[in-house]
Amino acid sequence: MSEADVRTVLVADDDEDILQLVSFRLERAGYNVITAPDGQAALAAAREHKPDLAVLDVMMPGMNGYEVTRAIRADQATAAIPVILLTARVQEADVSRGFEAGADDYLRKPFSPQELRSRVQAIIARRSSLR
Amino acid sequence: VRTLGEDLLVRHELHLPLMYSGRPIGLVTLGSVTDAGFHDLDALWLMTDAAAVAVSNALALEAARHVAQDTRAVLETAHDAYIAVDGDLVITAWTPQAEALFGFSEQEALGERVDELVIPERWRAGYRAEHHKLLSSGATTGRFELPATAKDGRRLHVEVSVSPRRTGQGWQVNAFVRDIGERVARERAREVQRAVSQALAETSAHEDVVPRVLDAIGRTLRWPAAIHWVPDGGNGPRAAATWHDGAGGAAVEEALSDALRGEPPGRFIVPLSDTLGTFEFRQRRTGPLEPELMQALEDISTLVGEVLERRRIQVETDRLKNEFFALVSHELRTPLTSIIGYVELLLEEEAGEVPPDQMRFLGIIDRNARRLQRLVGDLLFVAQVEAGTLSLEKRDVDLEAVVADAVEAALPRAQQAGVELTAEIEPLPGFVGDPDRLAQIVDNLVTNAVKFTPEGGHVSVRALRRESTAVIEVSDTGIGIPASDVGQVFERFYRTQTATERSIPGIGLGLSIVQAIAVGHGGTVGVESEEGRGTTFTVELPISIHEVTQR
Repeated sequence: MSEADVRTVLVADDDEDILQLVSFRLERAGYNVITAPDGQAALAAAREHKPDLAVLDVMMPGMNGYEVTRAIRADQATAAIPVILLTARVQEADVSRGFEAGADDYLRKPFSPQELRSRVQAIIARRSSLR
Repeated sequence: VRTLGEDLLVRHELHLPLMYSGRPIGLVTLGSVTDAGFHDLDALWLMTDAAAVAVSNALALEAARHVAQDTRAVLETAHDAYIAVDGDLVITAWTPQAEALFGFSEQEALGERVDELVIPERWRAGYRAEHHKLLSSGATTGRFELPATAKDGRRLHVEVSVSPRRTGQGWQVNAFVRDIGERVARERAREVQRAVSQALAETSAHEDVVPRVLDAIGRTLRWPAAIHWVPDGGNGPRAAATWHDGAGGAAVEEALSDALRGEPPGRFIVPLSDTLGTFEFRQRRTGPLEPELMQALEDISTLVGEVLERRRIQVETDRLKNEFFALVSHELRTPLTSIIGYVELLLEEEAGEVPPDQMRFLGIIDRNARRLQRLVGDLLFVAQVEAGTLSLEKRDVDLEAVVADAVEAALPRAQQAGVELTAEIEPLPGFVGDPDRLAQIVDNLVTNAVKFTPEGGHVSVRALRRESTAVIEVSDTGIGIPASDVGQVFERFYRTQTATERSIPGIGLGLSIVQAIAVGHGGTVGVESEEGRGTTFTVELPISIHEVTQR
């Protein structure tokens, strides 16, 4: 795998432990991971690094996952970045809210590492084939 | 000899009896001042006969007048109004009570047709029909209730007792009229209170209750026009809810509201509570409302105010409860996610090789963390069901795979318990529902079955299609459920005596969750059990018509 083939994934979660866990899993799966501890930082990182994928927690203080997704979609420079929302909630309404905001997929907490890896891989593969 | 005057001496007297029908009714005394005396006795007899007739007639007339005066006195002191009409309903008698009741004087009433004078237009035809039926039936009395209108427009309710009598020229119908407005108003008040109570009972805390209440009041009272709910104290026509009667609807009411601006007699305002504004009753006719009805409307409005206030608090409480659960959900799941995630990382030896003992201990941590996680999920699920906020996904579900996966996942637990777990899955049609929740049904039932089946027992899962129903059956050869407990096993937090005695772990939520999910998918869950022999739970889920016709 050459340097250019390494995909960058942005992970944002206000819970430091989960942030580290997800990062660790994705790094092990071969991704280059950027982390953000809240919504604002996530949006800034998305604009700066233009990652291949953003994994955003829904419940974050300040700017929540929906808001970050909308902001990413609204900005020409970041609009194409796929987004997976991490949600601790289980309500159908929350899921549809995520899709309305422009998310590509969602993952319910707690999720298995296999599930995380396969979702991330699927979305990145889909994006690559579109390029 | 008697002296009549200074110069007149009565020289002869003749006494003649006045006879009528062979009975003496008086005496005529004739006096003569001449010596001649009385010669033509026959002529005198004729004269006295004529006088007797005249006097008897006068006496009879006098007696008759006394009777009439007595009758009138009776009629005028009676409680009821007395009215008489002829065969064509023309008024021939009208007592002061009738004047007081209807507001028309005797002079105004006599000669008028009673139906045109006091009976509301839409009741006239019916009244005339009753009248003619009474005359032709030969009945001696009749009694009916009907609304009437007073001169000032007041609506009355009267009870009329009639007795028709044939007279020389035709008919005289005597009628005693009693005002039963109070009784009718009380009855209507009771009716409307009942209707409102029912409407309140039938609406849940989340529904908009006011339109239902207005409808109940309007329909029960047949209120002529409209009822508004004006939440902020009736400043202008800003009604939050409105009820209209069928006749005329909004257009008429709008015109009416212009006519009724100010404090017109056709508008009644009753307060609900300090914060909820007023009910405003508008009617087409003018005139005051019966006090009983007014009182009832005030009582109803107070009651509705109280109920609305209670419901507002209830909705607020529910909202806070939901917020609390969302928060707890997040706060409980986040650390669990970390615990399970990191233990998993260690178990997978992602952070280096793990010695066997540590591996075993990590396995125990993992198992208990997951148990805690399930418990948190169950509690939140029940909270959502209770709060009415449970929402199920509607996705295409491969029910066969869902059942197979859930059974697969339960295998280790069954093996650990020494229970044989088998599955028999027949082809099932496509199903629309919530895959995670459907898996939870199988998982909960299988977990339960394994828990209540002693070592060496057998748990079998069957999935099959029965007509338009997908059936999932979980049978065990376990300890069974005592007949006295069977009816309650689906209740929340219910634990059977045996479960407690044998300290089988659990908090009694699994089956209530199974039921909630089954019901949420339009299905049912049933149980059959024999103590000591085993238990079978059967979940039936209706397959959508679309899927049925597809096959």
